[in-house]
Amino acid sequence: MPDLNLKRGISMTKSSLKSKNIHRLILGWIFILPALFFITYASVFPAISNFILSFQKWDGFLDKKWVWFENYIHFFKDGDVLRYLYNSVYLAFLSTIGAVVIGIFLAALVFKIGSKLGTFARLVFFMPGMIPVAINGLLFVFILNPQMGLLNNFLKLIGLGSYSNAWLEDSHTTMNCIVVVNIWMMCGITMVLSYAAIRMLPTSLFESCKIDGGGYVRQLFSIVFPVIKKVIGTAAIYTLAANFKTYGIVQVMTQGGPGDITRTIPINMINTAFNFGEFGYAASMGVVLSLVVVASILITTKLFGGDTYEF
Amino acid sequence: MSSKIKSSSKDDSSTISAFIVTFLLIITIYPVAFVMITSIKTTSEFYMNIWLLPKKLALNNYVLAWVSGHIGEYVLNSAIVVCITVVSILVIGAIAAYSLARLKLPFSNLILFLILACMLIPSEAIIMPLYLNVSKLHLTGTYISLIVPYIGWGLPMTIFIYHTFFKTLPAELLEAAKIDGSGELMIFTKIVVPLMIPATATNAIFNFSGWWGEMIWSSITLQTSNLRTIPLGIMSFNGQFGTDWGPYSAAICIVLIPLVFIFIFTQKYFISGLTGGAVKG
Repeated sequence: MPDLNLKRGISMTKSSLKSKNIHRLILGWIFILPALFFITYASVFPAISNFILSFQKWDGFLDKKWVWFENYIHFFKDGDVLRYLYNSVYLAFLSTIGAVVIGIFLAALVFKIGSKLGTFARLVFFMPGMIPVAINGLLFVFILNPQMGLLNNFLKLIGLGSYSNAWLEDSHTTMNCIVVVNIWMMCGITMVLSYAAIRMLPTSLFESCKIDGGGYVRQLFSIVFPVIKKVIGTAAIYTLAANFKTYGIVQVMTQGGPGDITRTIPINMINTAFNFGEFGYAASMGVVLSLVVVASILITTKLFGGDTYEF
Repeated sequence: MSSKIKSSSKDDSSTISAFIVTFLLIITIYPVAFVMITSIKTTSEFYMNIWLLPKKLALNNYVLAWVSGHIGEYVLNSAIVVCITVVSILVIGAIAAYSLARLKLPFSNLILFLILACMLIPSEAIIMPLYLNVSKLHLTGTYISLIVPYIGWGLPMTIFIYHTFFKTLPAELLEAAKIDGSGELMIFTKIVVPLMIPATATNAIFNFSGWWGEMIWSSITLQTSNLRTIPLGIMSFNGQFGTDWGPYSAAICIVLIPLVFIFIFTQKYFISGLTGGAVKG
C-alpha cells in the first residue's frame, strides 16, 4: 500500500514510526505469550516427556532406568496388547467408514427433500455428536439392556423375540454395538459438511445428468460424490481422529469387557500405568497409538487427495 | 434447489427421500423420547409395562437423581470448570491469533504452524507426564488441574478459527485507524473486538461442547478425589443406581435437555464454524 505509507510518512516523523513498530512488536509478544505458555505446558512439554519416558523403566517412585527399546519390544511381543491395538484400530476405522457413508447419504437425502423437514432432520441427525460421550453411552446401555432395554423389548413386540440378545455381554456383538454408537454420534458431522458442499454445486450439474436420463441415485454416484470428494475427505479425517479417542465410550459402555474383549489401548494404558505402576511401558503404548493415529490420518488424506473440481 | 425441468423422477425421488428421512428421524428421536417418558415413571410402573405412558408423574426420580445421585453437584462442577476454561480460551486465543495475523511478528507463520501441529498429538501421548507434573504440584483433584490443560488443548483450534477470521478483515479498516493516530491496542479493543462476535460464538460453542464431556484426563486427575464432573459423575451414578431405571433416565434427561436447547439456539454457529474452513465458497 504505497500511497498509504506515503500519507503516514507525511503525518509522522521517522522516529515516531520506529517507536510505533517497537510498540507493535512488544504488544505482539505480550499477546502471544499466554497462549504459548498454556500450549507448551499442556501439550508440548508432556508429549516430549512421554516420548522420553517410553525409553525408560519407571514404577512411579524409584529412579528411572534407561531401557531403550525394551518397552517397545515388550509391546510387540505381548499378544494381548497387540489385540488391544487391533481393537482401537477396528473401532476407529469401522466407526469412521460407517459414519462417513451414512453421513453422505443423509446429506443426499436431506438435500433432496429441502424444506422444513430437511432443516429439522439436519438438526436432529447432528445433535448426538454434541452430546457428551458419557450421556450417549448411558443412553445405549439402557437401550441395549437385556431385560428392560428398548431393543430387546421391541424385538419381542414385533415377534422377533428369538433375536433378542444380551448385546453388551455377548462377546460376538459387544464390539459392534460400540461401533453403532460411534456411528450414531459421528455421522452428523459428515452430513453437515457434505450437505454444505452439495448445496454449493451449480444447478446445471444436476440438469445435465437429468437430460442424460440419470435418476437421483445416478446423479449422486456419477457426479455429486466425486465432486465433493475433498469435503468427504475432511469429514473422514475429523471423524477418524475423534474415533481413536475410545476411552470414554468404552469405559461407559463395557469398561473393556466382557473380559478384555473390547479393551482398547487408552484403557489398557491407564490400567498399566496406574494399577500396575509400569509408567515407561504405558508411555510406549501412547507413542505407538499416536503413530498409528498419525499414519491413519495420512493414509486417509492420501486416499481422498487428487483432483479438485472447479465449477 | 429450484429445478426448471420438472420430471416425474424428481418427484419420485423426493418422496422416497422424505419417506426414508422420516423413518430415520423416528428411530433417532424415539429412543430419546422413550428415556424421557421413563424418567417420569416410577420404576415399578416401568417394570410392569415399559411402553405405556405414566399414570401419574413420578417427579421423584428427578429429586433422587439431583439429590442422592448428586447430579446437581456434578453439573455445578462442570459448569464452573467449563465457564472458566471457555472464557480464558476465548481471551487468550483471540489476542494470540490477532498477534499472529495482524501484528507482523517475525516467524508468525512458523509459530502458527507449530501451534496447529499440536492438534495432532493425541491425548494418550500427553496425559501421563502431565499427571505426574500436576501431582508433583499437589494439584490433583482441583478445578485448576482440569482448567489449565483444557485451556492448553483448546487453544490451537480456537487460534486457527480466529486467525482465519482476522485474515479476512480489510486492511484499509485498520490502516485508517492507524492514520487517525490510534495505537495497536486501541485498534484491537475499539475496532476488532466488536467485529469478532460471530467467530467468538463459534469458538465458545466448540470449546463448550468439547470440554463439557471430556473424560480421559478428568478420570485420571480426579481419580482419588471427591470432585466429580458430569461424565465421571454419570459413571458413578451408573454404578449406584444400576437398574433403577427411573432415576437413571432422569439423570440422563437433566444433562441432555438443557444441552438440546443450547444446541438448537446455537447450531448456526456450529455449522458455520465447521463448514467455514472445509467447504469452498
